[in-house]
Amino acid sequence: MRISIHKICLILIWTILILYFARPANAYLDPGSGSYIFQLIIGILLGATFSLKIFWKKIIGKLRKILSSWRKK
Amino acid sequence: MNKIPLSSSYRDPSGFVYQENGTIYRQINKSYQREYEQLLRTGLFTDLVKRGLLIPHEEIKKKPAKIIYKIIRPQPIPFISYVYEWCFSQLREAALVTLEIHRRALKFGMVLKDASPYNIQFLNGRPVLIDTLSFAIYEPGVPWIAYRQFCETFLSFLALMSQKDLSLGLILRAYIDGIPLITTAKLLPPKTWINFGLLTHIHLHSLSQAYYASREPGVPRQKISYANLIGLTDNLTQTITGMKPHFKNNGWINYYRDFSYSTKAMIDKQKCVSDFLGPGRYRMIWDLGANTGLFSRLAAKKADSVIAFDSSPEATEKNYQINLGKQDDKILPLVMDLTNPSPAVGWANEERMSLAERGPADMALALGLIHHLAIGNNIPFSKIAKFFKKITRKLIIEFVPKKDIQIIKMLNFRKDIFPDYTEKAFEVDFQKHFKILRKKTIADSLRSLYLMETI
Repeated sequence: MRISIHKICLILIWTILILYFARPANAYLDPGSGSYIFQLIIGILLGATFSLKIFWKKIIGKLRKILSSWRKK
Repeated sequence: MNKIPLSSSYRDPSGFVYQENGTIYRQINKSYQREYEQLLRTGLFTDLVKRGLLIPHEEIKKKPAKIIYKIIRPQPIPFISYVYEWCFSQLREAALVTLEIHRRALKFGMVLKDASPYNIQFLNGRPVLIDTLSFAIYEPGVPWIAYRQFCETFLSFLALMSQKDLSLGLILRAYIDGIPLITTAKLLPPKTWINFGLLTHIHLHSLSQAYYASREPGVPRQKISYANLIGLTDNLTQTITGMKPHFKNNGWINYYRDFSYSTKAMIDKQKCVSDFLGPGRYRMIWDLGANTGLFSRLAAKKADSVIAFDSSPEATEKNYQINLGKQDDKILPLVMDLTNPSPAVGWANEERMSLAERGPADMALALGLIHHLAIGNNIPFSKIAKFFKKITRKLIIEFVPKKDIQIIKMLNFRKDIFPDYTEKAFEVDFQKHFKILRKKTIADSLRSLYLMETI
């Protein structure tokens, strides 16, 4: 599940952002603003995948507990 | 009062580091009072020190005056090393420690305002944050200010070393404050575009920088949530954890297995080195040309600290891994080419010290080294002796005669232009700077060991 979420994210990000940023630009002296804004954008995606990861770990943890209690019976 | 500010400590208005009567202190200015109190009050300081992530310090009782809020005395670091001297795993550990500190700081309502590799030093073999003033108060909605620095330093360096070549660590002597992302992106191979972490934090990040460089975006109204900051930190951690060093197979790592010594000779050499070290204890031993650290570990039994230098990043990496496995925390392996040792770099060539400025050691080992310098690199004995005098007080050095199999191999495809490479000439040139205390020929070998002291 985790691998395919990453693959989907890869394709999405690659398509959208490559097309958006792929014009030539004169790199100048202040890359700070680019990093600032990039973090705002990428933070949304990474925050979502992290929350999903934590949620998934909790689900797996609960399932394992249920399975082990069944085995004991 | 003999207060000498450190030439590397000038950028932060929150305070600076200085030396007084041989001890290092940090001055905390009143402008940083609020942050420092929060660091202590929230328990973040105690948490990080307990986990060995932040350098402990002692507060010096002094009346606050003018701009000074407090003076603290941090635990001393036996040997200052720099990011361009670290092997891959040391750099990776330092990066992971930085992210771990930032993640923990967020939980306590603070953030790391710097992600500079120069804020990390190795203490007892492990990376620790030495800049106690690196913390800022978390402002909800504000992105992580050190994200760009982290990507241009830790992440870029690691990506180049893992994807291209370990020896690219040396690039950092030129790009001391970080590699521009556009440069890293161009140097990385195409396969990095399908690595989610590198695609995001290097390639797309660099494109974003280029895009906004020639525009005036104004002040963004969007905010970044706490969960998103944690997600960002977690993703950087996962990206770095997944990186492996790019090893090329060269002869250096198998040095001790393949060449030069019979078992009898090796045992005798170790016994002799131990005997020459004597019964006492040294504060600092430098093992020059340490390879995978066989003799560094021997020296560590008689020293508080051993710095193990080798020009091979692979051998230094292996040395580091072996020490981790043995939980040997007295040895610090570093990548150092003695024919081109770390120079003084940075502003006015004073920010980061040269190798010689960080000495002298109490004792140095130069085992299986002299022929690589004199024949491999054409350096005369007199120059080698002069350099060694600068960096150590005592020396255990191994003389390798021309009939040795290593030298025969070295001269196989080269003209022998070394008529002065003799044991006699070696002794004469070294005695201009050293007094020979003892000499012993290694059993079952043509090589000899010398114990010397500077005059």
